[in-house]
Amino acid sequence: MSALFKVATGACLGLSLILLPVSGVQAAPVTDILLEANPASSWLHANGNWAAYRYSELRQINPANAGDLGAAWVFNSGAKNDPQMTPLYHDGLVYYAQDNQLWALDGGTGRVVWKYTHEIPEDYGGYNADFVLGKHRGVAIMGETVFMLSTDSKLHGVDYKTGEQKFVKQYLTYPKDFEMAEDSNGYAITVGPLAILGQIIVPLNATDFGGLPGFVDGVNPCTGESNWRANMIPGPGEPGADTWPGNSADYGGAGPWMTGSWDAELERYFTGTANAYPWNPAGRGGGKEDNVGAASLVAINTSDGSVAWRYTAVPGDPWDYDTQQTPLIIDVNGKKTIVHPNKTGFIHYLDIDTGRFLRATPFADKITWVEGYDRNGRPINQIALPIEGGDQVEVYPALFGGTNMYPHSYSPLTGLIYLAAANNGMMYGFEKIQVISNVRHFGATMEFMFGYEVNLAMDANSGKEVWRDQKSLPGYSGGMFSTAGDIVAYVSANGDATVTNSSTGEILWTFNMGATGKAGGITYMHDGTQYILQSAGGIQGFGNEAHPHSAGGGYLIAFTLR
Amino acid sequence: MCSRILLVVVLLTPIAYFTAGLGSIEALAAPQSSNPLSGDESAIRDGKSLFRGICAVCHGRNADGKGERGQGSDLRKFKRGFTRYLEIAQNGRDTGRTQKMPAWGKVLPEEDLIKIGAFLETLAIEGANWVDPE
Repeated sequence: MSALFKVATGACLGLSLILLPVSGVQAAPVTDILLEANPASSWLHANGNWAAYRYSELRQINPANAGDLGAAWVFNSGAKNDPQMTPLYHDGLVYYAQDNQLWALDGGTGRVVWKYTHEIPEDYGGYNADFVLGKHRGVAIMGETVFMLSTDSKLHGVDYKTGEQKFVKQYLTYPKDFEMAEDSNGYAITVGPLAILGQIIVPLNATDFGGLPGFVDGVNPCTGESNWRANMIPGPGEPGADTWPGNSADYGGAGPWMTGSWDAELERYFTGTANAYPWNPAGRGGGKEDNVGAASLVAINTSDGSVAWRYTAVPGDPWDYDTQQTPLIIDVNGKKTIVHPNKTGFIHYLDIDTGRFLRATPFADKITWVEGYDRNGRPINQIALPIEGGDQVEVYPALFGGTNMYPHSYSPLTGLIYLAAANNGMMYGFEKIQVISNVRHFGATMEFMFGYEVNLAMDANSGKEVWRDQKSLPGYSGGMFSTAGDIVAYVSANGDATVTNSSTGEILWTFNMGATGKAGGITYMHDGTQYILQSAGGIQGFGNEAHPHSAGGGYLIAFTLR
Repeated sequence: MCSRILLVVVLLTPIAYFTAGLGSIEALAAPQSSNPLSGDESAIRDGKSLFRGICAVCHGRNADGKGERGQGSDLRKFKRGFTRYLEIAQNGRDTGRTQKMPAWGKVLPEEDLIKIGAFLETLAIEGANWVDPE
């Protein structure tokens, strides 16, 4: 069926064109062949490839010379909110989004080639919605179009050479300022779209802004029109629908807020989902119902949007344990497998065909919420939940998770998964759920015991730790990428950019960016030179003020060998 | 909570003194707070529930500015007096950051905001002031 989407859209994408001039930079349309390839000269998906490895075939920068890296250029986006964007690079241009703006930058100089700006409607707002305003985690590219999702639930198709708008499509209502609207529920988007064969995948999340249920759309890349819509929470008649008592599914959250992975052979999209909502589970079974689809992994057939399977990692999620992290598709012991590190502190392994639970191996240093998972993939001996209005309970990991929104990488060279992890706990309690403008508030409060950032290399087959780079202060790495040159690169909460030997963990190079790191980097080849690109800036967040650098900043810094 | 109330009493109570020679004790007339529900146990209880359900996400469970989504002010140090508190809570405030203080007066009754203020007083630390300026 994807072939049909491809035939229907090929002409509009300009795939017959070969080479076009762009402000002195040559740019060619992005073909299916390019989309299917691993990153090398280009970086065409936020997650690197469809299997989400964030792994490049480039080798120019390697352990023998990484110590010679230096800054080549800096771009300042003037970010008002956290830069969490993984850029793209194609044929001379870097594509970068921040604060509902999209830039094309010259890959060799960082100078602006064009800029596209979207104005957020004046009535955007509401409970908690400003928290995500202007955050972007990725864009997509296909043919001659770059695709950006804006915070107000719109997909923008933009000409990749000129920045001219081709279309804007709004999918669902955005959160409204509750000072102006009786119903403030809506979808606020931070996730990036994904280009697959003939379609753009558009995740839609409303979880912590009122709890409207999450969806994934497959859309026409020429118009943005939806081909299909898949619901994360099972609908009537689907397995698991009866795990949502009353009308709790209507506000149950489970939004997909990180870009998932895609398998071309199965034509199947895999995504993690957000927590169940509200955080206080009083109205959705009190933690005793599974609330299937929330804190889950969902497999969607991209031919028609049907859901192949759902696996719930945190049944009845009472802890705000989103499992939104990007699932990896890795050959484990000779079998293609879904491998999923997530907030629970465990790496989950699932059968890619059926979603059957295979195992869960711990990676977090301290896990108290459960003792482990049984053979059916259910938590063993979960601790007692707090009583509403009563005392808090101590929980590890904190709701930040053993790992969270900072992307991981998998290197086929080393067989290791590189994880942006942290060790934090929390005191956690439930409160009465307040409802304002039809928005249910969290109904939970917490105090954090901040631990440390720890960057882990885990053996993908065994799930065992191979090496770690543990920091003394709290935070997460901004995320990882690795290369065939045997390096892994990441940025830390303390503002360091680091390149490490991906096999041994030996730190080869660090650079003080002067602002915290909250985004995954990329690498690309431009005019024969390999670049590393990293974002810097953002608030420390979550009440953590441990780092001496200032909050703010919105920089994109390019590094090359000197 | 009892210890916190005691702390507030220590920090905010004007000097009590003996009236020499009369053998009696008189408190100064100066108020601890201009909040009409100050010290009202029922209001404090309601205010605590409202604060934790609505405000804590940015201001933190203990009003220390360490909310999970937080860029909220440390309200334990609030020193502008009750009336200014109520104005900010009702009308909002542009913080200069992405996240601003919303105008809760549009969606919450004034009484609820006063109750939240009564609760916040109980968390006050040195330098806080809930008395309106003359």
